[in-house]
Amino acid sequence: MRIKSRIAAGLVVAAGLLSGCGSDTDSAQTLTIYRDILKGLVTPNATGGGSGVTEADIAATLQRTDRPLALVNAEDRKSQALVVEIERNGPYRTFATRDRQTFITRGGMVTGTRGLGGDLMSSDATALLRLVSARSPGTAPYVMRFLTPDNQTVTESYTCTVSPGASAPFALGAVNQTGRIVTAACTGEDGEFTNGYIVAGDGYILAARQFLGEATGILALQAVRR
Amino acid sequence: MAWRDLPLMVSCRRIRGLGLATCSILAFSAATGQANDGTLPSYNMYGLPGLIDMPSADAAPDATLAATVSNFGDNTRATLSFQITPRLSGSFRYSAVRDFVTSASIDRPYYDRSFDLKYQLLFEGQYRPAVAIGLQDFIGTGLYGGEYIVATKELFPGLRVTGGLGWGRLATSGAFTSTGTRPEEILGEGGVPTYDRWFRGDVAPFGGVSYSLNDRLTFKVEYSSDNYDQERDVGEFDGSSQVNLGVDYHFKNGTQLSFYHLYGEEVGVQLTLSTNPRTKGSPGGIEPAPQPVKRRAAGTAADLGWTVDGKTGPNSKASLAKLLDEDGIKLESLDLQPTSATLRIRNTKFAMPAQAIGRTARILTRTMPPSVEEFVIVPVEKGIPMSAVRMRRSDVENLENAAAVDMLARTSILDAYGRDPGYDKDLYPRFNWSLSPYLAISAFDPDNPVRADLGARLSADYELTPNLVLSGAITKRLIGNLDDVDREPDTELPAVRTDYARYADEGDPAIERLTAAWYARPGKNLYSRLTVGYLEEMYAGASAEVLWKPVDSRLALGAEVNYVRRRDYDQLFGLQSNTTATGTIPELNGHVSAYYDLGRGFHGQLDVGRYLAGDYGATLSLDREFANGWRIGAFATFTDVPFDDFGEGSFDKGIRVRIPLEWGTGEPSRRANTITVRSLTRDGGARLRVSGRLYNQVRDYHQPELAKSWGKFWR
Repeated sequence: MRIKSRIAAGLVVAAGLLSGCGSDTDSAQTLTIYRDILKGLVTPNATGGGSGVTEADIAATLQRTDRPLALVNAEDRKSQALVVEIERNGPYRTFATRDRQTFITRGGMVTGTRGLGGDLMSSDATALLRLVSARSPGTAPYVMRFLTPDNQTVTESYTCTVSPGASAPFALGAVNQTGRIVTAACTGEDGEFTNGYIVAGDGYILAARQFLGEATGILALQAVRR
Repeated sequence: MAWRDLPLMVSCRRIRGLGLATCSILAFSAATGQANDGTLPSYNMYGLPGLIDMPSADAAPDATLAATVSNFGDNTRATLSFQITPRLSGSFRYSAVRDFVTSASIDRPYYDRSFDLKYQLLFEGQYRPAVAIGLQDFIGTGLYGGEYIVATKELFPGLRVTGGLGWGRLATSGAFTSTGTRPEEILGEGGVPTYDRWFRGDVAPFGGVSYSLNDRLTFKVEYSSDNYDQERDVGEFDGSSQVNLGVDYHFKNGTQLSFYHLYGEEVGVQLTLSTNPRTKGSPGGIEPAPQPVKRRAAGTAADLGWTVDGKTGPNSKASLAKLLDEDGIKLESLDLQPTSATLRIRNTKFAMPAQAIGRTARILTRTMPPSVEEFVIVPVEKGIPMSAVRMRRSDVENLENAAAVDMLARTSILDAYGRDPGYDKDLYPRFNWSLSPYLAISAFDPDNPVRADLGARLSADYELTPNLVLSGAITKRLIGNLDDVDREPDTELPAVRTDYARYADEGDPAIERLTAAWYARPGKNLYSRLTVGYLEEMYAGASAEVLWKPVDSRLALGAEVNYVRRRDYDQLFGLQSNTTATGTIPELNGHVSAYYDLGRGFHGQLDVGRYLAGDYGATLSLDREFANGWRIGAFATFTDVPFDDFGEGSFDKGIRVRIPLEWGTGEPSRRANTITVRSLTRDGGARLRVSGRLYNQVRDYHQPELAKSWGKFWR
């Protein structure tokens, strides 16, 4: 519950600090990213109330930054947030809320989280991503790593069956293109789940709906601006 | 308005409409199949897995810590049980029997402490029952003394049948045979294992059935082999039946509430709270995300132009200090070379040293000029460089999204001796102070089971340099009865601790400690401490310690020698003679110590030397330690003081539990509470309580400890 409220609070805090823009003159390399990039990105919820991200939030945020954006919906925690890309490392991109919760993606697939509690610490998803991006059927290994309350790393190994489905238009924020639905049905000793993706023609995952571990549950991350 | 209702987000709805909404979790119930992995057993009135008053062969999941309070008739028992290993559990119990008249309990309840051990011989299989063997109240006067061997098997889902054989107290009703003669006299002054009695004397059967209607409700019936002989003789127990009935309600969080009908006459109630340091708590913590790694642009690593511009270096350092500070890490100095950066940090926030190192490494990638390829991070405690953690920037860049062990394999944890870049002189001297409440508790005095003082403590540290610290604490009692002790100190030894009540009485306000401490690295693998002043509430003097601990070793050796003078009872600046009514306290005491990380989460310590009263002996400690900072252990001290001279309890022993604050909150914190439960305060086997002992500070940043929680490096 606490974690859920933290995600929700992230938006509220972001909104509250909107007027706190400063004139930090750090170079791009040394800037305090959480303070500077994210400053004032999300407008207050025009409709008031609730933790949901509105259409107006998205439009306003698109105007305020030219960085890539995504919409995160933590379904099991019933909270949403607009996140902005704050860093890239090779194929990995880090998106963040103003409240310092981050989502790491590769080709649009979520490969890690930080600051949610019960975070997905890392994934081995290279083979799975290759199939999903290519919108090709097949099976691929998939590994997710988590920390226990005793700070031990637990590795959950799955085998995922990838099945391309119908094509689907995807329109959200600045993104408006047609993708194809691809599902990955994963089974392993620790359980079973099915992830779903909408994959663009160039292989980028426009929308990912994934199981991210028992603590986070199901989370969807969708491109608002690529 | 929820996002999915917005017309703009058609695609989102379409995801749902197309059946992806049913991408649900099909099966996430625990699929792992160890015998006792996660399912809490029913606890009995003795606070052990069991039926009602009788034990069963069930075991709790490894590392379960359960606290039970039960009451029926004149009997109240409070028990703390710990599943030490998957097979072995230990329990500590404090019980009160009312209307139980003995020489020690006229006009008040009879209070008794007891320890149990239980060992799982067999885990339950498809056809095989679980089998356990146990010692109940196996140290001390043995009011509850008994032994048992017991088997339990689930016959149908929810229906469990238990049968066992009991000795001692557990064979006072229905005995059908006997194994030798059970001695009655107490060994020593109590407090020593009653090994001469174990599994001797009458043998009686006991058993019962439990039926779990669902996860919440369990009904139980048992046949008890305990006749409560002593309670009948000197108490007012008048049970008329050996059959007990009960019902348990298990709350979702594991709490058990039970109601019983006992021995045909009494109604009983029991509450059991449980937790597990290994599996409960916030997995990975809920603290904000770390700074992401910033990968250098291709080709920039060879650019050394910054080394001559005169600005980049200072700017990089300023950015580094600022970002570290946001994460609660203080930069004490930076030695920036064209291709390497060596920095000294003080971690004020993260209980897991690996996390402090990892966050520092990430921030270095964001702040250091591109040609800097080697990072050497020197964490400092009490001004002592504890280790030098060396890594390649390329590895940090490449492994940010890989398993943490990959980074560990490429990280060198070295002795910091000779690698310390020193500290920036403008950071010192530094002054810290704090005002906080304190609670001092004394438990298990037979006259008054719990006495406590609540007060305020003002502490201050003045760090002249990082490793030369003036430190003091003043306490003022606000309310309490710690000084309210009727017993005259009764000791055959110099009164080194037994007059504590007088210190508590007259020391208000008190200077708890006032010391100057100097910490240093005399050489490779060596750490030292010298403390002088008012070392603790009862002693002033000097304490010198040296520790040998190679950075990659599980073994450490230490030596400590103390010169002590007895402080005045008012705990101000005065000293008094070391001569007490029962002997003279020697001025010199000290120990040599061996510390060893036994593996599998166990840690042992052996201290051999001369104790405060001049007695010679050894203290053996064994702890189960968890990588999140929990420690649960026991210790015992044996010295050349005969049990008769030591007095009640025969020798000093106790158990201790260290609980890290962040385990409860999920937020990073280096604070922890240690609760020590020991025998009555006596004068034998007593040690000086000087603060700042080296070992636990040093080992945190050494290889074995860092590796244990290395998963936190990327958190």
